[in-house]
Amino acid sequence: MVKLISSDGETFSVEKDVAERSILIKNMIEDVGDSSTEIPIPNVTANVLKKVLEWCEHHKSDPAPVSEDDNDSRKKSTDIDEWDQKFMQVDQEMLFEIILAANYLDIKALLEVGCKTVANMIKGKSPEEIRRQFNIQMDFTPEEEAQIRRENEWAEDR
Amino acid sequence: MKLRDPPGLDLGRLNRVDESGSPTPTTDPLSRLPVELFEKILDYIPYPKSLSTKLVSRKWYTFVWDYVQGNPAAWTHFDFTDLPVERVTPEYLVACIERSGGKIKEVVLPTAAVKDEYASVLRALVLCEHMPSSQFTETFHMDGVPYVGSQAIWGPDPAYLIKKASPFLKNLKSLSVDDGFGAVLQDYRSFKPSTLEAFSRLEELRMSMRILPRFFEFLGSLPLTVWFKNLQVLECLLDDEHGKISDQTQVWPEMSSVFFTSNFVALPEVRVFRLGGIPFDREVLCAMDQQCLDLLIRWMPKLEIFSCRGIAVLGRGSYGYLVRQTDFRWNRYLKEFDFSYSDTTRMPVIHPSCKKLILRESGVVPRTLYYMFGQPAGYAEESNGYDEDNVMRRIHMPSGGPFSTDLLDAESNDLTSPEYENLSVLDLSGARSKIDSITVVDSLARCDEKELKELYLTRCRNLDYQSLISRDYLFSDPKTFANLITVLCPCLRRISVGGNATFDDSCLEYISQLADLEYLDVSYTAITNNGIMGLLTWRANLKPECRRLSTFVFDECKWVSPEIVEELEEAGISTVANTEMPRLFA
Repeated sequence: MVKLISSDGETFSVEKDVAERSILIKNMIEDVGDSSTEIPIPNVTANVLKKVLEWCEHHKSDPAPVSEDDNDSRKKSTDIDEWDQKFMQVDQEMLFEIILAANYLDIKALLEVGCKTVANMIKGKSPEEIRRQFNIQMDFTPEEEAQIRRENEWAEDR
Repeated sequence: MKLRDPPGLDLGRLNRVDESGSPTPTTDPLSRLPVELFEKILDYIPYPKSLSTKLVSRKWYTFVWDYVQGNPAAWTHFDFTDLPVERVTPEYLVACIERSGGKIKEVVLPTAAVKDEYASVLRALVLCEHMPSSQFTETFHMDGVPYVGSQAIWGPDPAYLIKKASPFLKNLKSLSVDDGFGAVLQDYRSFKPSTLEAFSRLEELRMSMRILPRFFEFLGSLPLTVWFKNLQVLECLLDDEHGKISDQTQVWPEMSSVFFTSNFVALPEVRVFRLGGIPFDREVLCAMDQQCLDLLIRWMPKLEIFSCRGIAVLGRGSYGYLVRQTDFRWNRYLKEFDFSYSDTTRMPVIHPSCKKLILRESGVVPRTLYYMFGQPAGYAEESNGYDEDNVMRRIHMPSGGPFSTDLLDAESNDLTSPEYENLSVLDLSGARSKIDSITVVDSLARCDEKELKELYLTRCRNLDYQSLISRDYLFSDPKTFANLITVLCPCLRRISVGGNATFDDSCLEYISQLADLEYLDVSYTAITNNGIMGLLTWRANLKPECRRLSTFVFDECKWVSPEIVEELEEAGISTVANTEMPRLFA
């Protein structure tokens, strides 16, 4: 078992192989050489860490990701498996927290799922719908908007 | 290639304005996430859809602009499927490709889902021009539409594009072209060797019937050359506005005498040749010049499947084609001959290798013999009074080669020709008025009773025994037409007699005795519950292994009650709905 301490002081005891989904934690355990020491996670609050560990638990037996040759094999599919989809049904605040935590903890697969989820929120939507989705202020003047529209004409979905 | 600054927009100003921030609480991912994470998100949104996100806000605008400029990975995948097709112009493609700096790996173009207003082949060629050949998508499927434009609409000159793009056509195996290709073909004299090389690699080619005359002209252009030496499938399809093809605007090329005096074979590997398609309007057929058709099939010595649907094959009188029939006897590998929904003056002669003869709703019927004193005395159609010999003398036919008169004439009077002896499928469904009992029986008489496994006579309305009485037949004591069928084709596995009002319970009794029968369609006939019960009783007395009938179709039989379905299902016979019928009766 590994003990993780969130930024707000809560302690989580998890199996080693669950915690080691995070490359950051894995490296720390290796550095310390003793898995019984407590590991502080200063950038992640308890509610987010709980969520992240839930994901790690479910995916603990996933095969290690194949070494990626980044850009070339990049498949732009935004398909997300069912469990992950359900897992990601959280408010946007939490979604971003998860993405940030996954990035910090270096959990590639979770980061991917998070980015795909956001991408799916953007994909196939009009700019107006995207603004509403994320509560973004529209700050173009009508002239500017028309200008960008012209420039963009062929890229518009509708 | 580097992107220019967006025209007319001062990015610096946008950035400055953005600093003021927005007062309302926001979950803008661009504010909440570090730049590199937001880039990861954009990576999942294919270009050019990602570009439309520029319109979200100033911040997004700046970011997306930088992103597409600074991140070459964003330019490797193009997905245009959701774009209105008229926006994917050749010029636009060139622009995108240039921006990518040649990094494109994959391009998805809008296809058949939308009506293509542009000459799609040109788009394909523009792509070819800019893509590394090794990564070039091998198949373009772009459905054709009428050729509406001039070069002014397309922009780039097609000949110029095709010449420039040809070196990249290396891996192209299958090409579907729209009518714009016709215009390209007219310029064939300026094709470079590399273009022709690409043609020679093609294995499949699909085009609109509309450009077949131009294609034909290209095939036969002098000096005679085999342009498509690897082509295996040639499809010339009716497009949506096929009706327009039937008018006289279709200009078929004049035949050069060279065609007739050489052994030239333009399409040596073609196995499948399809013309037309099921027409939307049966009254309007697309015209096809018979002489061109004759030449085309001579140019396909390996032809296996010939399909001609919704086409009126018309002769040109001066060549004597009014009476000459198209001759497939040189196509020694012919397996399937489909002339459905089509019409021509005389039924083509087919090679005895043929297994399937499909004349659904066709204007012609199988070539049958007429009998005198129980002996065949000639082809039925020859009694029409045409003086074929006289006509033949007026056509120049050199000896030797595919156009040898020896070949053409050797068998035409041979009454023991085995033309239909290998048929296993005969479909005369929905045939026009010409099909009657006599034609059917005479056709079956030319088939081999052991070979024929499937017989479709859907909607052949005049099938009865009475009309046969006047004929001199050697069949022993047939009581009904159905009995004749069981005598003539005892090995049938599938039969359809739907739409024939004279088919009743007594006919069913005979048909059900066919030992190998697996499929029986009696939709729109006069059979009743009693008939079906009789069939079931008869079947129940068979040894289980002899109960082969597994599918029974009886849609719209008004004397059959729905409950009978249970009885049939209990006996292990499925009663599928006949999906074909409404189409035939439309």
